[in-house]
Amino acid sequence: MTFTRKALPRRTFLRGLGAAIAIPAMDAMAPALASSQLPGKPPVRMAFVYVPNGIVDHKHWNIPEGAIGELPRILKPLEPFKNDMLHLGNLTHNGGRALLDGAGDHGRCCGGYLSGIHPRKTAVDIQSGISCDQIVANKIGSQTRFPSLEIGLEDGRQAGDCDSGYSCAYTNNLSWRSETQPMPPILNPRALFERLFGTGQVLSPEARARQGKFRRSILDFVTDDTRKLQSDLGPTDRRKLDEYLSSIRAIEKQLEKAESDTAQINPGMDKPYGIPADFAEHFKLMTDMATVAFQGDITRVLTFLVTREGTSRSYREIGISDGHHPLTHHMFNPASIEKVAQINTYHVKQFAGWLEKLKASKEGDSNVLDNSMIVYGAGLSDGNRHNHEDLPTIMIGKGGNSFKTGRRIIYRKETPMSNMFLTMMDRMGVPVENFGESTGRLDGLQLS
Amino acid sequence: MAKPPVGVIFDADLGNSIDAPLALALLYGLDGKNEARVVSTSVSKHCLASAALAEVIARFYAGTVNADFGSASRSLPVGMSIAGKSPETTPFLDAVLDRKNAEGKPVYNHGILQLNDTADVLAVIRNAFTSQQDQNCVAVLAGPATNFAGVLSLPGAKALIAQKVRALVWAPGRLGLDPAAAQKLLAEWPAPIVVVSPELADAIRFPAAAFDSQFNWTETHPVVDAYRAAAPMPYDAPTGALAAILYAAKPEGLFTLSPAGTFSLASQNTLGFKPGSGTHHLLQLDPAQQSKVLETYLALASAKPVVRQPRRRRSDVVKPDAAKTDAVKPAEPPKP
Repeated sequence: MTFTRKALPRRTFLRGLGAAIAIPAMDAMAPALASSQLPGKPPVRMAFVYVPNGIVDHKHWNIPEGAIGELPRILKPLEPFKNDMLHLGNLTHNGGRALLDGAGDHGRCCGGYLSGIHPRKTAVDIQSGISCDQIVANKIGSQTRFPSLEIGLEDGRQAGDCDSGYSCAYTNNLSWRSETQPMPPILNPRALFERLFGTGQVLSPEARARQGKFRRSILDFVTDDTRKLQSDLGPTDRRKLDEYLSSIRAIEKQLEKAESDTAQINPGMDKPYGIPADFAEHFKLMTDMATVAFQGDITRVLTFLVTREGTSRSYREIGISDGHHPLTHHMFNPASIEKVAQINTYHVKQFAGWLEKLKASKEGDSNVLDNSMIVYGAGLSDGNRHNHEDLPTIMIGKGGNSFKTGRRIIYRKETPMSNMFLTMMDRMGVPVENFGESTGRLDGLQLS
Repeated sequence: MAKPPVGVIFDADLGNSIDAPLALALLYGLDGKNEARVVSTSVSKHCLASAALAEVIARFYAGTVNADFGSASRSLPVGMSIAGKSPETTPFLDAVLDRKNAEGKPVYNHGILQLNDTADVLAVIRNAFTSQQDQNCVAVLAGPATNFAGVLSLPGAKALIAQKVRALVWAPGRLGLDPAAAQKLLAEWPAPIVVVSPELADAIRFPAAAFDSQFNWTETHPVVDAYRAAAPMPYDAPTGALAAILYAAKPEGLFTLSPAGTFSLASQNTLGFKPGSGTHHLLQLDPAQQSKVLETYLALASAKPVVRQPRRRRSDVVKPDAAKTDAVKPAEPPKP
């Protein structure tokens, strides 16, 4: 048990010149002489991790109903988290279907994924719907430094036609502030870092190069606050703070390396300055910061568009030089199917790396993953068929001891994805009567 | 571009009355002739056997259920109410689902073995509306109003129905199973309602003799098996649900409509009609057309299945030559 002279406020920052680092939940935040439990319950977080072009061959994704046994090939990297997982079947997004609008499944499925809306077919006057993450962010966002964070890994246009008459705004954004305002994801790790811990300004490459000569860690700017805080903390909290600040320093080092690498490898700026050339490294950097953002209660709402919907990105790092999207239209060619399965598995493997960090982030008797709802899924079911029912969907985390995990639940056919969003919004403390295509809430998730 | 044939969104307490399976046979007959499209089927009985019969009939007329709904080559799931109404199975449901061939295997296959083999009925019906061109579908209801009344409670549903639906054609029956739903439907449905009069349902009876004369092209027909098990043969069944389907597809020439008025629930089991302002009508028989209506019932309900090739994306086609087969060809019924 830790004793402190007075309770530390839940939202405590280490401040310095151009820096504001939120600190994670600490024992010292509990009232003096109270138990080591955190004050109240830890916050619940929600995140959506979206992968494009559906999932190939559902035999590598689906599992039998009931307790989760052995995971299939694509989900194999999640083996350590299968007891934290809800594997959900038959969730449908009707708004992704053509509904007389012809081709454009990629634009529709992503543009309305989190709103349950059938987006307007246009490359100009876009219209989708406010996404569920933004409804939550609007309601509880004032409790954290940022109401929400939107991140991604692949650069893309925000205007023009990206899919059969559908604006790039639909394929390149997951989160929508309003019917007409998407929230473009942050792609550059430096931009995210500075948003989380600094002034939020992104310097030009030239300015950064000049500054680099005198580069100091952001932690150097908060030394005084850190020292003061440490003197008020017990040994457990001091260790936790050290670990947290070390993780921020590790991110800084990764950033510096990435910036150095991209400057040397590709001075022609094919990728924006600071974006790692390596997909896995980029994924890790962004999700390391997402971990810190959840740990430090900097935000409770995150959307992560892994790559753009309909992307034709290749994955040479795992030996696949063909584009992702063309491969998904595989004409039942076993070699193409195999490559898509490898891409799908590769994505899940990176995702597992993030989950590991969240699970290792202790929060009282639980951890950040326990107190989160991380949905991983796609807006298309099978990328070859372009269908919108039985969307590949898993949810990791217990939502703050709310969900009985470790199960595959197959819902009734045509059950709207929006029903899941309603249930998640309930858990975030933002209950709404209906949302998007909802016909009710998802049953069977809760602890009995 | 010309609109496709009218889409029919069909909901019934399938299993409670034999006119609903007959109506489905009629509907698939119209679909096979391109005179209507089956957009969705759903059941208001909270009973897996009821949903299973809908799927058996859809499979019997294999392929037509894919028409114009959702993505390529996908069977339309059967929506089933879970409101707890009329949950019991019935002799004719059992007769169809339990029929075995010489090897002891079911004659009629279906995939509805547990609740999640059925679809969320409100989503199915709402999604069916969304897939239709404006004013080019008709909602047909046989039995209690549980499901359509439920859809009215979904956000945006009333505007959607007003936009998409020409009319609701209702062969009411067993209203006492859910009087509140009937009341809600009559009060809030945002499109015209046409109610099949009991007189019309009784005036034209489906002749049992037809099963020996017009359905003798097959030994295995789920609707025939259902009919034979529904009551001691021979009997001639009322045809309220058939009238509803036929009017939905052919609103001109065979029936007449009463002047406009308003229906309301007169008792737990009956509707009352008050002429005057309103958008409700009573569907009535034109006596001059009585024999023609019966002939049409018989011809369409006894029609052989017409299998359509499922619409596929080019990338779904394994062998290019396979796509060159005739788009429409007669199908052999399943072997007993």
